[in-house]
Amino acid sequence: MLVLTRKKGEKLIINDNIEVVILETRGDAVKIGVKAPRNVSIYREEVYEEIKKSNVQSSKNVNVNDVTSAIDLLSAKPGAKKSYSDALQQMIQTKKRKD
Amino acid sequence: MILKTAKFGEVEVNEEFTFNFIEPILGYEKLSKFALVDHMPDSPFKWLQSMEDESIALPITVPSFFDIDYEFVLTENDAKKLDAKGAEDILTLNIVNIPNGQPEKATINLLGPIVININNKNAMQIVLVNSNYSVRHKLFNEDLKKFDIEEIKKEETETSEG
Repeated sequence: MLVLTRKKGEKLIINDNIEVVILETRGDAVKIGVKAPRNVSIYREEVYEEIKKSNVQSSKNVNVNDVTSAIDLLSAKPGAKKSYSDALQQMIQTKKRKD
Repeated sequence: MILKTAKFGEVEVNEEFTFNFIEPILGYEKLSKFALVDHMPDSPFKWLQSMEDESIALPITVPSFFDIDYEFVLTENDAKKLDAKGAEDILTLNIVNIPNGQPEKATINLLGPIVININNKNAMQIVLVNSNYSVRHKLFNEDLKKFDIEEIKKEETETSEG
């Protein structure tokens, strides 16, 4: 890992097309500006971690009976469909047919 | 084809509904093959069942089934990775989280949808940028309290007894 020190207002250039600027420092917080092409994705790390945690919980904690209960809850809602049978399959097949 | 699973035993899987994750479901970086498995007839939920680890299965649904307005723009980069030519190639699914024994607290991950190119079966989990969508959006309103569940459970017991 490259480690370097920058002052407020100073920049880093990455790969000719990404510019990182230190806008402000206050206590242990640093405000950073990033200028990058549209096709470069920039995320806060904790968003990734949150999704990872949520994915793992989804499979680990799930109880098949709870899913069935959730269906009952949905069908108790006004305007709920009687059947979602293959609404998904239909979505897939409709999309395929356009091929 | 027949797939061995921990939750459902042996299930018949339609090969049309098997997907190849070119970028992983976060947290399952070593798994790339998943199959769409039915929960039960008429269900708004299905399962993304790993074909490589029988213990891994994630419940998924579609936000519109729960009256959730949902839209996002797939970046050109991601469309390219999936080799998708237009929105008509793309199917999106969202992973559901149901805390054990508390289906009323179920949430849906709107920030990290699964996108699938239905023509070539390439799939990936993407993370939406500059989005206000939540990783844990509630599927059911707060007003749906325990009462409803107890009622439903009671009805189920009565039905099964009758």
